[in-house]
This record gives sequence, C-alpha cells and structure tokens, in this order.
Amino acid sequence: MPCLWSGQKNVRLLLKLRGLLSPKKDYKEMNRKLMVLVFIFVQSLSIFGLCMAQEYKIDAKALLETKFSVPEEIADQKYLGIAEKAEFSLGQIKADLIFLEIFSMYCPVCQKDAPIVNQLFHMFESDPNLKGKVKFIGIGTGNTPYEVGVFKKKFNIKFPLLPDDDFKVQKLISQEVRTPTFVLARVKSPTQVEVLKIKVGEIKDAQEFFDSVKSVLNKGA
Amino acid sequence: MKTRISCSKIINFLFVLLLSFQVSSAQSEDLKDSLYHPGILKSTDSSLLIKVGDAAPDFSLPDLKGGKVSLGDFKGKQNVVLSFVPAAWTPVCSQQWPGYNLVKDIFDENNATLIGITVDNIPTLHAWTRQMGNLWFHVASDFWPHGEVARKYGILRSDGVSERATVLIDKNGVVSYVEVHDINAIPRLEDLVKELSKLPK
Repeated sequence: MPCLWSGQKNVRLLLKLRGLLSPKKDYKEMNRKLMVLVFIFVQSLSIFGLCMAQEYKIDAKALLETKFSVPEEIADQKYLGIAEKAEFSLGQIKADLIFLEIFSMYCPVCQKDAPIVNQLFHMFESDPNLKGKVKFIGIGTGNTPYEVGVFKKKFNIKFPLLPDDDFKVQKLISQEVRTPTFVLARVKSPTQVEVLKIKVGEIKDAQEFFDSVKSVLNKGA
Repeated sequence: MKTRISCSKIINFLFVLLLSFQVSSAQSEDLKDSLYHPGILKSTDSSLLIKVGDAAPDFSLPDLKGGKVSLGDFKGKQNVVLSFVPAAWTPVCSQQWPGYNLVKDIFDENNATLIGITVDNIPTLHAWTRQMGNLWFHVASDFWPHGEVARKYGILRSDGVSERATVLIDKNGVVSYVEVHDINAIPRLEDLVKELSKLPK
C-alpha cells in the first residue's frame, strides 16, 4: 500500500503540472516545469524500483523496542517470565528463541491454521531438550482484547495471545501486514534480537516446520 | 516553436509512461491478494430510513444455500442480525464475516441467526465466500432489483453498494439496534455481542 499511496500522490501532482502547461506559457517557465517534471519522474522511478525490490521483512530493532501489554492470565505471564509488569518488550522474554505469530481473529487462514500451530506448540513443549527454549507468542493485529480472547478460547490456544488494536505490528513490517505471518527471532540479550526466519501464510506441516526450527537452533548452539 | 513541440511531446511521453508505472504497481498488489483495494472511502453515504422500535421492513432474497431467505421466516422464532457489507472481494468485508463464522455459539446463546447481505450476485458470493470456510449463516444477494433491501433500510450508498451496517431485529420483527459503521473498518465484535445479549431469548 505504501507503493500505491506514493503513486497516487505523484499522479495527482503530475495532473496538476500537466494542466499548468500550455503553449502560451513563456519558454523559460516551460523549461523550469519540465525540469520539475523530470525530477518527479526520476524520483517516482526510484520509488517504483524500491517498492518492487522491497522484501516482506521485519524491523528487528523496532520489534525489540515495541511495548506490549502484559497478558492478563498469570499462566501466560509465568510462561513469558514477565510477571508484575504493566508492559513488556520481546527482549524481556526468557527464551533462546521467540516464535511470534501475527494473526487476526477475522482471518480465515489463521483460523484454519490454528490447530497446526497448536500442534507445533505441543511439539516444542513436549520435547525435553527444547521445552522452555522456544517461547510462543501471538499478536492479533487489529484485534481488541475481546477478539483475541474469542480466538484463544475457540481454538484452545495454550500460549499467550496479545491484542494489537492500534496496529503496532504494522509499523514493524516493510509492507502491508499479511496474516498469518510467523517470525522466528533469537533473543541475544534484552537489547538485542535477531530475526532468523519469516514465514508468510499457513504452516501446512507442523513436523516440517518443527524440524526447520530445530535446525536453526542447532546452528546457533 | 520547435522547442515547444518537443517539450510538449516529452512531457506527454513522461506523463503516459509514469502513469503506466503507477497503474502496474497497483495491479500487481491487487493480483497478489486477489482483492480489490478501494482506498479510503467516505465513511457513510446514505440516509437511514429505519430506527429502533420500527417494524423491520420485510424482504425475501436469493440465499447462497439455495432458495430464498425471508425475514418473515424468523418472526416469532428467532432474533435476526442483518450484516450488510459493501462488496465482495474487498479487504474489510472479506474479514468481517469470517469473524462472525467463529462465534456461532454466541448467536445460539442469544437465540439469534445471522443474514449477511451484499449487493453482489450469487455467483460472485459463491466464489468469494469459498475462501471463508463453511459459513454457518445465510448469505443473501441484494443484487436485483439492485440494492432494493439496502434502499428500503436507507443504507444504499450513492455508488450502488450498501453501507457496512448492522441491524438487530428481535423475534417480534422489531428493530432493536441499528448501526451504520465507517465503511473503512471492521465493526468491533464485542459491540455486537453486547447488543445481542440485550435481545429477548
């Protein structure tokens, strides 16, 4: 959408400039406007190029700094190791890796994928070598606490889900956020987190995804 | 004069070329998501013709499940929620109903059914709703006469689509809640649930 927005602005500007140009204008004035137009054209080409080249990526630094409300459930607070705080950032979670799911209660793919994500969570929790090393957290982009609660209850989700009704997550992503988006991030220190993997769209095979996360963990060990 | 012609030609060339770049970048995005992005629209664009306490105007519309769905079918039996959404294949509408699809139990608890209505025709609604999973509620087409039900309720916009509007009708056929939402945003689920809880069971 940023690409489209810039594009629309430039088209409007061009229409204005084009309307101003007429054969009756003096030569110098026309040259000046032509220069402006060429400048806009070149700038627009660069924006177009950037938009086309831009990957779907997360700003790791901003991700680390973003504050979320601490989940209400005590079990969720304990799981994340962030009890007795009003807000927290991902860097404060006690884990080697964070598995972040950006979802929406309204997203049919997220609904369909919820049992697979539950299965994946269960795989990590039941593996004695991985339990506690990878922490799951879901962020309901555009969702209120009530809507996130509906999703959690409906799919019996055991890991913490956070509301994001003011679209904080959108600010971290280079393009319009698509749901579900899965982010695997390594917590290096409370002030340093590294994004290792981003997957956009449903996880069709929990075992395959589990193996790929394990290999990431092993590489970093 | 020559210079002027040349300048004019260059300007026109740049204009057309730049316009084609803008259009192609927008199309690329649309195709990727299979959705049409209408941009930010005027939040509401109609004059409501019903109010709380009125007898809800009856209607009978083609139902995606087959046959027709009529408001009168539910009188004396069930409360009815009408969810008007503007158009298939647009971003907000494509999310709103999947949200309702998740909360059938809340509708059941309040002895309510849901009729989703758009001005799209049945083939379009069929193709569009397939990506939402199996919808438990009625999906009705207010396609022909175009937007007739939306017009009766006073929620037909000047461009021929309906508003994003929610109407709650109790089992006696009386309007108990009506809200014309900002067309650009999903109405909050908790607001609907709160109003549902006020209905007679």
